[in-house]
Amino acid sequence: MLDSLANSESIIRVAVLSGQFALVATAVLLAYAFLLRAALTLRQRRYTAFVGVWRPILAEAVSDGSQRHEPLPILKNRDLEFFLHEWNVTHDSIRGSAESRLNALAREVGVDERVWKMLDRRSIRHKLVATATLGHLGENRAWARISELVESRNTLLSLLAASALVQIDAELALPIVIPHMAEREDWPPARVATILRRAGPDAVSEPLAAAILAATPEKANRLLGYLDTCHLAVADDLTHRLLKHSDDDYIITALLRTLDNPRELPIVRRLVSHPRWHIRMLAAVALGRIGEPEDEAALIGLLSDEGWWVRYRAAQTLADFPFVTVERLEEIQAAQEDRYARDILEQVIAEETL
Amino acid sequence: MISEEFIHAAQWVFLGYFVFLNLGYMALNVIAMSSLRRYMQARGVDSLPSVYANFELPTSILVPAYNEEATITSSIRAMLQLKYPEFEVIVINDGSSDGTLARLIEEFELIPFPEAYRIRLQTQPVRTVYRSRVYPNLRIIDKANGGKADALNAGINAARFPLYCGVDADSVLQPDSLQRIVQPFLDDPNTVACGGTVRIANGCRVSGGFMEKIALPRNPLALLQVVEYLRAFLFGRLGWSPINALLIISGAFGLFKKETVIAAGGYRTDTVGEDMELVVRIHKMLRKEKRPYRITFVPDPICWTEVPEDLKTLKNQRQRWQHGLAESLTMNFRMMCNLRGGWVSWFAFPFMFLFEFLGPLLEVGGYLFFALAYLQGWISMEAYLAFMLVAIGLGILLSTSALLLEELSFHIYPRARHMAALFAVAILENFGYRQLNAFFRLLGLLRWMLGRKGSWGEMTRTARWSTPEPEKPPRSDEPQGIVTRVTE
Repeated sequence: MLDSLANSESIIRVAVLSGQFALVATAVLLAYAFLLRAALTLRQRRYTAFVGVWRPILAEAVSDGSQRHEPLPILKNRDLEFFLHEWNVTHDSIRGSAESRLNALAREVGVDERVWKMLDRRSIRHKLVATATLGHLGENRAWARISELVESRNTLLSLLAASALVQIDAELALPIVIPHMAEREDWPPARVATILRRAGPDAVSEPLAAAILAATPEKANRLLGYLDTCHLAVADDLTHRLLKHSDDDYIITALLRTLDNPRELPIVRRLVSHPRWHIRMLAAVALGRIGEPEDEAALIGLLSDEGWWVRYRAAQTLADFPFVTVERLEEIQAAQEDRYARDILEQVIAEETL
Repeated sequence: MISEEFIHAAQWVFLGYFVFLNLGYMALNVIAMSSLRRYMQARGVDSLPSVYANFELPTSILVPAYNEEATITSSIRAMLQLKYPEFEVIVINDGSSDGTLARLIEEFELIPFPEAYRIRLQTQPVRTVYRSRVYPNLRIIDKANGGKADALNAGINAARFPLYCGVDADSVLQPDSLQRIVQPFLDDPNTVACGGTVRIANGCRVSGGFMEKIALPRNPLALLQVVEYLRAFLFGRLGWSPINALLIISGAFGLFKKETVIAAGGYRTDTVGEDMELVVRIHKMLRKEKRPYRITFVPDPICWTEVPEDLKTLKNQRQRWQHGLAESLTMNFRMMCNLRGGWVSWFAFPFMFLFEFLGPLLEVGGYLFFALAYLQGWISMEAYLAFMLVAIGLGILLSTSALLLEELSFHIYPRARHMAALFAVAILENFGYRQLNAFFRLLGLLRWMLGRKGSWGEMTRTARWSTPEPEKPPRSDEPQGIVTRVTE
């Protein structure tokens, strides 16, 4: 073995083989890249021709489909993907009766039936487009199939499936979807909130409140982030109950961000001296929403807090109080012995007067 | 007399180096291809308008500026027009000796502002903080010169928002740059840093700070760098990202979670590779603390930069990069094959060390050895040509595969002739340019070994791609700033 390794011929053989492999592979890649570019050019031409015909039709459907007198052109199978892209993007930017007209257009050109087949394809991209489309169409018949996709390990597909279910029937969908929202760490909160907003507070309030009350602190904390998608009364009631009974920092943090009811004032005042700085900061901000003139003293106390953000938010809250004028802020500043309190007030006064 | 065994061993070492280097990159290429496929799938759906609407995290854009009077105002104007719901722009004037500050003051109607500036990271003294009367989200930190890392640390101290984006003052951004780069932070709350793809602005047309027309550079040296950047970003970065082993986020455009960077100690001011060093240190810190985290990368072309068009500037740049890489790796050498280090310690770090840190030595050494061995008659012509076939053939294969990734994804260069030109470059760059680069990097490595201090050097910028701003006379009166309140 060592002999053969030490042999010049074996080195040359390895080198030549590697070099030949590289050159052949390069040639294959080159050919593939040129084919891709040729395909792309053809596709772009087809797309330009497609949008020339179909964009006006989609626009007409969105504005008022009744104006159309000419029969619809036949949607070729090869143009289905273009149609679905244009149709979904349009759908996502409209609300109300225009949605039904857009759905009617899709059914008229036979998209609903063709999309079913896409749902069964192995390609994730096809599944994604089909799920989004069936959701927009509010296709009841797809319920069972899309419910299965909510369980998918693919984050995007499971989220789109959840969104589609909510679009088909929000009241039926939310009891299925909300437990996933609490469980799935891979679901980005921003997207989940979009789904809940789309469902509307009527559908969201009850199942979400029930799920929060039944959840462990960790899961409740995750779900509390969506509290602002509920009806105000439901959110208020839940906030009150949880603030009264929970001492979990994460839950308190989540509640302080949204609470807006003056009846929580005694609890918020207590939280102003909480050992965690971010809770003191959020309590200062909450005082800005529900506080009274007598809370000025607590906020002045926070101007000397060890945390910059606590000082800054307390100063901002003071400045935003309708009963505190710039002159009053200057008086408070002059009375402060603590340098940090004076500095932060100076900044906020400058911001106010800029 | 050199023994035959030594010659054989040396041949195997150099040949093995080239084969393993390229196999390593091909493996990255495969990972990048699969990752890019998933990304492009998701991107199609993400393009629907409402998916992320209004959920983007507030972000501070930090722009360190040193003697940038020619381009600073147009860059900042472009940044102020970014499509993003809530952001602030903080320009850190790092003791510029030209009219950078005066231009900013005049253009944006800046006034000194008594900010309660917090020192969370130690920096050179801050002289004055300015705020704009016209743009409430624009602030300028005027400080004593301390280098780019020091300026970024001062910017972090002043940043209000949980994420910050470090941007070079001469970078050209896409209007949706921030929206794109913030998405990993929305998708995964454990994300602590994200890099974006940097492309070459030479040859393009930029208007008002935004990219207007994309084209290839006419300058041959810049053209050669187009393929090099594609290789570096499309699989050099994208390949490491899915296994959470990305070690470099370009200083030209990167988004970071502010508190993580502060916990890591901010940017080190004693290295010229502060961007890479910070990323490696964040890996080290979070691995040690056993905290879940992600350092990731978005392949969208979101930032454009000018590259050197002359050999002297290119040489300086490559020496500096190699110097920075050497410093970043050696300063964090405990990451090498660390038991708790995961992919970073067992793959990315050793890979960087062997192929990027020692790479120039082995590459230049390989070329010299085979040439010398042939001239001395130690090896045959056949052996010499076979070696060149491997070195050049595998290089061409790598460059071609980077172009294929581009074809599979963004098609930034629209015309077929652009693609044909790039493929020609992918082949030609292996006959001289790549070797020259290896030589420049070797010089950088030697400078680092000799303990020479790295410096930023002079970057000759032509900015021919940018439409000029109308001339405005500089203000003669030096601003009389209020002494900024400093708190700890």
